[in-house]
Amino acid sequence: MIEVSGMKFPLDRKYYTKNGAHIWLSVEDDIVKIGMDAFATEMTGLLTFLTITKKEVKSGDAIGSFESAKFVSRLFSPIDGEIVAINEMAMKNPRMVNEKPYDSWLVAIKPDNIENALNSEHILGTEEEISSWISQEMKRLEEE
Amino acid sequence: MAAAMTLKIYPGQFNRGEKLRALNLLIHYEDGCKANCSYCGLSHSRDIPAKDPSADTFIRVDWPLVSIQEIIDRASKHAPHLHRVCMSMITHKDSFEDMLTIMRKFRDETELSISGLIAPTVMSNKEEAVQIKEAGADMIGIAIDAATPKIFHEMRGSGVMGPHDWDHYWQVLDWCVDVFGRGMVGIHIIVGLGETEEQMISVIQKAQDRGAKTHLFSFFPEGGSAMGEWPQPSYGRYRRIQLARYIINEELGNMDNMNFDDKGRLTDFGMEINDIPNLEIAFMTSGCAGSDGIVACNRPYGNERPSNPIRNFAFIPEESDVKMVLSQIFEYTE
Repeated sequence: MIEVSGMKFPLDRKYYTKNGAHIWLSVEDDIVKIGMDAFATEMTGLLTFLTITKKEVKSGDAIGSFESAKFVSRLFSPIDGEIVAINEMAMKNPRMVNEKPYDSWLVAIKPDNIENALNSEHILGTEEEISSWISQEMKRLEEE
Repeated sequence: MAAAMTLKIYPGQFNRGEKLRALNLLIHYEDGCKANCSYCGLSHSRDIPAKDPSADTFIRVDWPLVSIQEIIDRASKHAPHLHRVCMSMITHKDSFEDMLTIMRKFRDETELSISGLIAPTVMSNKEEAVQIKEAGADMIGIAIDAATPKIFHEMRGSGVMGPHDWDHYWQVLDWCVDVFGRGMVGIHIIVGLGETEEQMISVIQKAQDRGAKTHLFSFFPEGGSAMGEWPQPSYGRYRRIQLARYIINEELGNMDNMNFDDKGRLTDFGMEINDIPNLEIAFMTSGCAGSDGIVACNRPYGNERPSNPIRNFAFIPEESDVKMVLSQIFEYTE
């Protein structure tokens, strides 16, 4: 676990970053579970709605949306594959994602190719990569 | 919620990068509001399901309980873009004196302009309006909410065992206009409580003629309230009323020149839309202005989910927004 700008990022998983996405990925038995990282939940605020609209997914495609009282954004898939499970508890009670972002997976995806699934320049995993990425994101926010 | 986010009490940001320009504060009492308005999340008869405490909202969002000193300290630290603070009374015997106390504190410790969103039911004379002004307020809001005496009576008055009286609200408005001046008092009106467009525009004109501006809200059902299942007004209807309000409040025209069909729907604004100067401003949030003359009470996403088309724009609408609005304005679906 590392902490950057007051936000925690466990190192037991990877992070998808393309186009401002803040999605964590965790591989369990050839299935990739994904969720929102601490940066995403902090920026969005208290979540009110989570929606998943796709089943067959491609890396970088919007698969649904997340919404708070004052903000809405799309949820992106980090990999190609098929959504095989949705965390209905999180869908019904989105605030659990705010409370425990890393315990609250959103969907489970069966990758088309598990060998290549995490092999992307947009997927980070090391402490140095994550720290640098979040620092850049904070700087971007300050400049906005 | 918006103020809590701005003051960094809650996490989060506003869609499209908007910034809040005014703090809306609500005085809290353990024994709550004594009124019973059928659409309101503060109604003392509202049914909050025990299994879903997250439904305990007002205007569909959380209102965290924070001390006044903490608000002042955080505003100074986190929110240089704030222009105004608005103290909202509720219908409670202590709220008038408490509002004055809090206003004086903001007057003495901040540079913010101050509004009072007053509860006429707990006020009884013009001298009280003078006291509000002396406490530091330069603008007043009065949430009449309903466009007609009948709807007011049914939803706020004896129709719901509530304490509010239509005539008294307008009496207090007249006192406030006398004390604060024309244009320094605003009425809050909720579109979608069962009125026709003609009735709505009539109350806007009535307020204007008495020296008060109108601040529009689009009805949003409050879960657990008596109107929790009531629909929102259509976009077409809301857009027409927004534009009519702008024409009347900016004194570009008045209701006498507008035409309505047999359902009370506005069909003619009395002028060509394309001739209206700064047309996009008509669809922005209407509310108390800041010292820069621009609306400070911009209430981002106060009337809709951020995933839905915006009803009150908290910022100057962009070209694509105006295009959307103009495509909605002559939709007659109700």
